[in-house]
Amino acid sequence: MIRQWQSWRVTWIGGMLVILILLTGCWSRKEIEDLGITIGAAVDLGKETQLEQDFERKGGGYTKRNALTLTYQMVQLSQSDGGAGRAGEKKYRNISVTSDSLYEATREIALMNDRPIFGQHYKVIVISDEVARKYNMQLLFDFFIREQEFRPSCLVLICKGEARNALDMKDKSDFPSMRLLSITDNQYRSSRILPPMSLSKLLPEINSSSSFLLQNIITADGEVKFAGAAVIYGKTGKLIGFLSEEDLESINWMTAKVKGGVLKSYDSRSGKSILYEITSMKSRIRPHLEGKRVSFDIVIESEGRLGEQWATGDDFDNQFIKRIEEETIKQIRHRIDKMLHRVQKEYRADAIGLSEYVRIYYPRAWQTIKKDWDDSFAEATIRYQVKVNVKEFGTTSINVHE
Amino acid sequence: MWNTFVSYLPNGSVLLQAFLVVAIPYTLSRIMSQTKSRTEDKSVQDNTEQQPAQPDFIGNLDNDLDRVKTHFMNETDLNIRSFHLGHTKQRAAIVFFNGISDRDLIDTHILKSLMGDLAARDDQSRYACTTAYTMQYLLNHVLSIGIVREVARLSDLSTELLRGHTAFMLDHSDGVVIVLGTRKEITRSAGEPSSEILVRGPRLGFNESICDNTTLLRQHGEKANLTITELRVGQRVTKELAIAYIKDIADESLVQEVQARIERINLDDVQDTGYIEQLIEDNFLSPFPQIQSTERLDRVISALMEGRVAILLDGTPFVLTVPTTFNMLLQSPEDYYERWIPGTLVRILRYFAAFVSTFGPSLYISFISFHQGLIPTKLALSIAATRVGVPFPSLIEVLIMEIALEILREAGLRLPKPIGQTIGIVGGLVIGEAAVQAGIVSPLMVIVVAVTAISSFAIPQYNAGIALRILRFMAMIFAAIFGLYGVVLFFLLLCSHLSKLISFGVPYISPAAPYRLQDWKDFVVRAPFKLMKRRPKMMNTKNTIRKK
Repeated sequence: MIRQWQSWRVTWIGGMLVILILLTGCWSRKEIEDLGITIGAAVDLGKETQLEQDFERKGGGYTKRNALTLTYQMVQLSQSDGGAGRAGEKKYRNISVTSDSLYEATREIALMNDRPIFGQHYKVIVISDEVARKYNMQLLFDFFIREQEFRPSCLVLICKGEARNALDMKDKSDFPSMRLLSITDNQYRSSRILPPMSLSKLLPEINSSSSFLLQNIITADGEVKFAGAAVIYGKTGKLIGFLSEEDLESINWMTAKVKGGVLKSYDSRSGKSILYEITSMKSRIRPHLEGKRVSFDIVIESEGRLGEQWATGDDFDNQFIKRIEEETIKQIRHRIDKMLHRVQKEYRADAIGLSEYVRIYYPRAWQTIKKDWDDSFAEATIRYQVKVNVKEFGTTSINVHE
Repeated sequence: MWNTFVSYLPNGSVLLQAFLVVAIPYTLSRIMSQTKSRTEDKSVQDNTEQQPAQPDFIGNLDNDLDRVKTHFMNETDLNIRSFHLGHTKQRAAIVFFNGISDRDLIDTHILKSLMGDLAARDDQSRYACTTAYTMQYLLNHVLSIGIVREVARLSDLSTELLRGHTAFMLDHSDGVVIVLGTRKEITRSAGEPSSEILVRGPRLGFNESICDNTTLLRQHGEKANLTITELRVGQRVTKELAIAYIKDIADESLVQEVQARIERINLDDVQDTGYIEQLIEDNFLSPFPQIQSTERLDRVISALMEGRVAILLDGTPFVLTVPTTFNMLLQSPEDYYERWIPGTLVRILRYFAAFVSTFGPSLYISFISFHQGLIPTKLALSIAATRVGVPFPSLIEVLIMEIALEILREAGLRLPKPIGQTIGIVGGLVIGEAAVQAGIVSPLMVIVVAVTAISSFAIPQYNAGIALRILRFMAMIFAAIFGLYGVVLFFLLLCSHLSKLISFGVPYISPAAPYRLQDWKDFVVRAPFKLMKRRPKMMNTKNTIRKK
């Protein structure tokens, strides 16, 4: 009897202990609707918004120098239906905070918003070109990489002008950040888009202090366009200039990072335009090292189809197809020459990413030349060969000479 | 010096936590070992009854009948019919209970043979004969009854009478009473079992009569070498129990173990095989059923052919098969009746359903409350939007719906069939829709609960489904405390428990945990019969070849 009672007591105490532990609560639990899901960020030079000025006039504020303005794009949750808001209703909300530190600015939002920033769904980070010219990339992205709640697949873009404009959109029913991300998926339609540069890809570029390209966007009247690329100079980590859309396209051709796109050239006989559509592009890059001098042999091979022609040539005539190939090669060579002049002579920065090939082919020598690689690149001889093969001309039955 | 020493000591809360980490598992294990030892104590039996030397029956009819009468003093339905044998003066009597014995049989084959036929046969020669009929003569020449048994003890006689047999007593006999098999059984015809329905396969299930059930087993094939050992269980209400196995396949030590465990049952009344299951299983604290119970004949037959042992009990259509492994609970006889490709696909689907029914809601909780970054952005936004008005954290939300669903399921079970369907519509559609409209739960939650419920119905064995349902709630609590980490912890806990579990000497998750690749042919996949040439190795069968 006594033993039974004791065992009951033991059971009771054990049960109480279990319950007490379980009732301490669920730590680190945060329901999804209580989070301020943030899908984009923009960094501009410090310029306080009207709201902030009003707040400060009423006594809000702290010691700061207003170096940067950070804009977050937060999702506005509407209960009406699953995410798709009513027509005309804004689905997002951009919050700008000016401070010297990006982290401080982020925490400042917790004072004004019931749902603090939740960064695991970042889609894009847009940097204004002025900020990129002024600050080293390593310092600029320190916060975004150091922060635990960040998404490494987040896309990094440069915006000419105010970066926060890129996070706005005329059509309020969609998310501007998502639009920017989705445009990079269109690489199979245009060769003027740089392969997406995510935070995780950016990190090694910054750390190895090599020069690289970032996709540039421009904004006008609530719309955006992917326009060329920004050149980040390795040694300083700052933006030194822009490449035009055509230069960017040439770089993509050279490194064969093309999934599709079109190439317009002019027929030398009639002067009318011919459109060559790229279906595949390959390139072989072979570096040579003689002492300190570097040279490259590049073979670019492309296959494609005749997409459109205004030259009234006969599609079934092999001579005409040959002529198109030649015109296209001429066009490519012309454009690549222009691009090489710009990166080698003007910017003196290896924006093409040829350093990778040298590192792979000459790993020992690379250790000594990597310090001044951009200068070596500027002096390097780049020989290239272009082969174009027009395989077909699509569905057509027009025979002009009949 | 002292201060430096003190600074290295952990503070109170750390010490408390350390104490709890040690104390809780210790106390739990103590409690469990105590309960275990108590049950084992009980199983030690001292069942040695003293047999009195005095015989109960002396051969004098009046005296013997008096003994029977006094024994059944209070039974009003005891029927004693005394008569004379044929034309002789020799007295005899039959004793039986009204109702449970077959009156037709008694009238036509006992009374008529002993009185009318005997009289007609010995009309002239025996009329004045003074020598009495011997019991042996009557059995050999007169009584046309199939089942006949001699009893000498009153207690034996009384059980036989209560089972519906008839006692035949003769004056001037040698103190032996003959029991004639006149038992009448109220049985149901063997129909399709309602709890386990197949599209293809035999429509035959067991019924409540052990006689019919063993008949069904015997009927299955001619050269099966089926052995059926009969035992008695129950102290106060004794019932017939049969152990069936195939002599040249089943492991002898297994049969002995089953027999020994059944003999250890000291319950006064065993109502169903469920009682036996709980009394002979290895681990009574585990949520998993360690013994398969089924109404289907083909399930039992296939288990027997794998070298398992079946336990049949009088009065229940549910037959136990031991040992049971976890994969048996997720298999259906149909896997073998259909071709191997659909069989395999359906089986894989069932494993997936088992996983969903256990971990569905807990994964929902951990994604919604802890790991929002793991949900694709667009989905996260739509989930967040649907949850904006919901006042509860996800655990409470899931608990509300899950408990509502369990109540619904239980209610639907109790109701008559036609109303049961209405309950499904009212409960499922109306409550689900209304709860979403009222903003108590989010629509996605309803989907998760519904998918979980459907998955749990896909498990062919009802008791396995219940086990997974219980575990689902535990997984939900783990998820609510630690998120995905908790779910993983719970899964590991479950795995360690399962790998420790043993059913009659065979590890519970057998082909998986003691790794036997040969048995995997009939585990997650159902290999074509051309490949399944041997019986499962884990059963340690005498004869291993299934197909040449």
